[in-house]
Amino acid sequence: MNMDELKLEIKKIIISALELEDIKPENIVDSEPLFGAGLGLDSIDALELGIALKKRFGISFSAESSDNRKHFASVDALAAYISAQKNGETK
Amino acid sequence: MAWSQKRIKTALCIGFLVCGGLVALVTGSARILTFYPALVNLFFLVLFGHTLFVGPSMVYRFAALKDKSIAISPYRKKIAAYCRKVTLVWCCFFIVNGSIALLSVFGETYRFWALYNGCIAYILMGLLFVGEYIVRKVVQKNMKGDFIPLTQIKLNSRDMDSIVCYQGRYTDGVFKTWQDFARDCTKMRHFLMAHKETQWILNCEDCYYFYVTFASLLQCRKEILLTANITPEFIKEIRLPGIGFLTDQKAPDSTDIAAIVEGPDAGIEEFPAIEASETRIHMYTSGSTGHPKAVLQRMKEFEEDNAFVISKWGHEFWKRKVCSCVNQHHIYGLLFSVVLPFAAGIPFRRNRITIPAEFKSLTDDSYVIVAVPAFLKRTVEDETESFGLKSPVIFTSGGVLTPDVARKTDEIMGFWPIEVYGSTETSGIAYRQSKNGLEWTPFDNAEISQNAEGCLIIRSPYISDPAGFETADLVEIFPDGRFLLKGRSDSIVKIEEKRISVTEVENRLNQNPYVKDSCVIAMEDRRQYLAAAVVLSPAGAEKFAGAEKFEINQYFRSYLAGFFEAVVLPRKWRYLDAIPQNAMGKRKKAEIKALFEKKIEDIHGISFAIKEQEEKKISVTFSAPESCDFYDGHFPEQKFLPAVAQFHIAVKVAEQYFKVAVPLVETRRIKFSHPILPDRPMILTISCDGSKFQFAYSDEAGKEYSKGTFFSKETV
Repeated sequence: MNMDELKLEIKKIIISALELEDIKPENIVDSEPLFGAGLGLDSIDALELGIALKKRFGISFSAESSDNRKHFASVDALAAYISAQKNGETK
Repeated sequence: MAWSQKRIKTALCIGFLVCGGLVALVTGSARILTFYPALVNLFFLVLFGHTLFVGPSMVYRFAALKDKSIAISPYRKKIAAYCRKVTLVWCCFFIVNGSIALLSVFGETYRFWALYNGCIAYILMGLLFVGEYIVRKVVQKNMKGDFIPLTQIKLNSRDMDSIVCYQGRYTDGVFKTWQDFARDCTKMRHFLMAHKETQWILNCEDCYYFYVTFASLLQCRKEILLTANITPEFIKEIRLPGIGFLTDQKAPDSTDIAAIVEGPDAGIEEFPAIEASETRIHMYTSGSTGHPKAVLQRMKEFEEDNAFVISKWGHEFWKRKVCSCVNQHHIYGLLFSVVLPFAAGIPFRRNRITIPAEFKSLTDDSYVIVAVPAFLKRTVEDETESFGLKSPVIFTSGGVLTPDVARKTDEIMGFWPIEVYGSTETSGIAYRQSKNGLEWTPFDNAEISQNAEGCLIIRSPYISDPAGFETADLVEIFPDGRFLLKGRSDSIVKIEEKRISVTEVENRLNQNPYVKDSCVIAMEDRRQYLAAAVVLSPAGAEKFAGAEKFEINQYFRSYLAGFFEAVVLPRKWRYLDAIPQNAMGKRKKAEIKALFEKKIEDIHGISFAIKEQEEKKISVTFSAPESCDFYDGHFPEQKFLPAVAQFHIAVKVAEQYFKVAVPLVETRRIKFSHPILPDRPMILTISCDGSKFQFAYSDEAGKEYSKGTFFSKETV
């Protein structure tokens, strides 16, 4: 899966896992923050998104909260983290 | 170095004894040999005895060698004192035992010598071992810290190296000590005293920075405005002239706490006294008036509440460390994750736990986990294996923890959570552990009663108003004082433990020039959330003409984000011509609610009503009218719903509800019991397990007509 496909997949997961209404993948800007400003997701969304991504990509998030805040910052950050984790596995 | 010297000394002593024994053997002098037991006692007396003077005591050295955690235990001073006593007891034993051994040498015969040194001495030694073991277990069980509330601390209240808080896992060993706390409070007080503001807004993610600032503000007799919400609009509203703003969140126009605490050293000064009943702590909640509301609290009540919790669960706290996933700007988080552990001398975690995976790393020590139901639910719901936590104790508050989640928490995390019932106005007032029943037991001294509407009234030392506090919670009170909660009576709703007044959200929306009217309601399907129905003003209609609905939603969401936390921002939006209301002007809540409920679109002219819905299961009612084209071409003389139509309906409903795609050609199985006749009211139930869907058609009486399975492309 290339980066663009991965990002699209992540957006689809965000929308379906969080049951966001009226939003299409193209409405989500790759570099925009997911939490706070931008999409404005909340802490419950963060928990659920983490679970959905874990299920879909089989990745795990670190036990260090500051790292996770970084990974969840935007679609770009998530994609980078997931592909890094995936590559780490195949090596 | 010191150790190796001691080892040499020890080796010399042992060498001396062995030599003595050899001399006795070689010379064959039994007389010398009989002194041997006395010499051994003397040797041990010296070995143990000298550690009483140079420390740490011999028994402590043995214990610390065996159990590495003693070195960083909050009770190491107490353990050391106990070990010293035990060392002393052993020294006395060696003196007495050695003396008897010595005297026995001068007996008439060797019989007594042999009996005592060969048997009795060993029995006595064994008894002492066993006795000490029993005493140790009792002492360990009662090992506890001292309860010294924040308002009564002095520099010498605790040892300078006692641990206040830790980072990450306790055994990582990254600590802040009493000395650090005293030093950092001194810096903070210097800062505060140099500023004239008498009221300060406080918001701090880091619990250590938070408490340094909190304590210093009280010590400088400042008023504290605690808020979890630091959106610029909210701060603007509560920050009247003359109010300062301290945070570690780099908010605009604020003072950075980290810069002060990590700033130049100002020495260590004595903690100024705090008058607990004169402290003023304003805690912001969402009030029913529709405006940000602060509840004024005092340390006096907080500390009374803490004292009760410690009297009830102190023995559990003192065996553990505290970690929390609850924001300390809310009363429960404040009391349980910071104020209480600090007062009880229990190390607390500096950083809040923000993702469930962090729990899995906390297997190094035993913890008290301060949690909320929403977090626990998401932590355990998808887990199948125990986290392997070391006998944790879990507290939860802020919302109802369903017995199901409580049981799952017990399975995965190893403890059935203790729920605490309370509110910002009342702090903790009752508790329950749902495995023992759903009734709540009031805290000691809490007097409960009901008002005319059936709402709970509480009077207790933890509430400053002697008249007590009237909650909006409907209750049933039993003769023994326990009670059951029956729901809330007003417009305040809880969204994943965040209390929010829907009126407040409506007021904010109505203040926006593009809004004419609005109605906000609480919804719950997969999760709890708010939904907003909005009537646009003419200006709004003009502004949003031609805009996508998503863009309008985003506009209002970011507008509201200026006032509210993300969790309470409406997730679903409907734009209406008017808010449905009855002739009396009362809003038709059910009708508005229906606008947001999930709907199943009509299929071939058949309409569906959702009967029950769960995450992985749905049941709908419908009846296929005779006019429906499903019957065309099949068995004209006896119309009934053919298999292909039954599949089609089940698949279409599943696709809509579970948002999946079911391929046309796919393994499909169906088993008929009875034909489905036209116009007959039917219930279709579909449950999903991964990509496998099972459906069944039945009637109201529960009679099954057919059932089958099909598969979707992706898993749910």
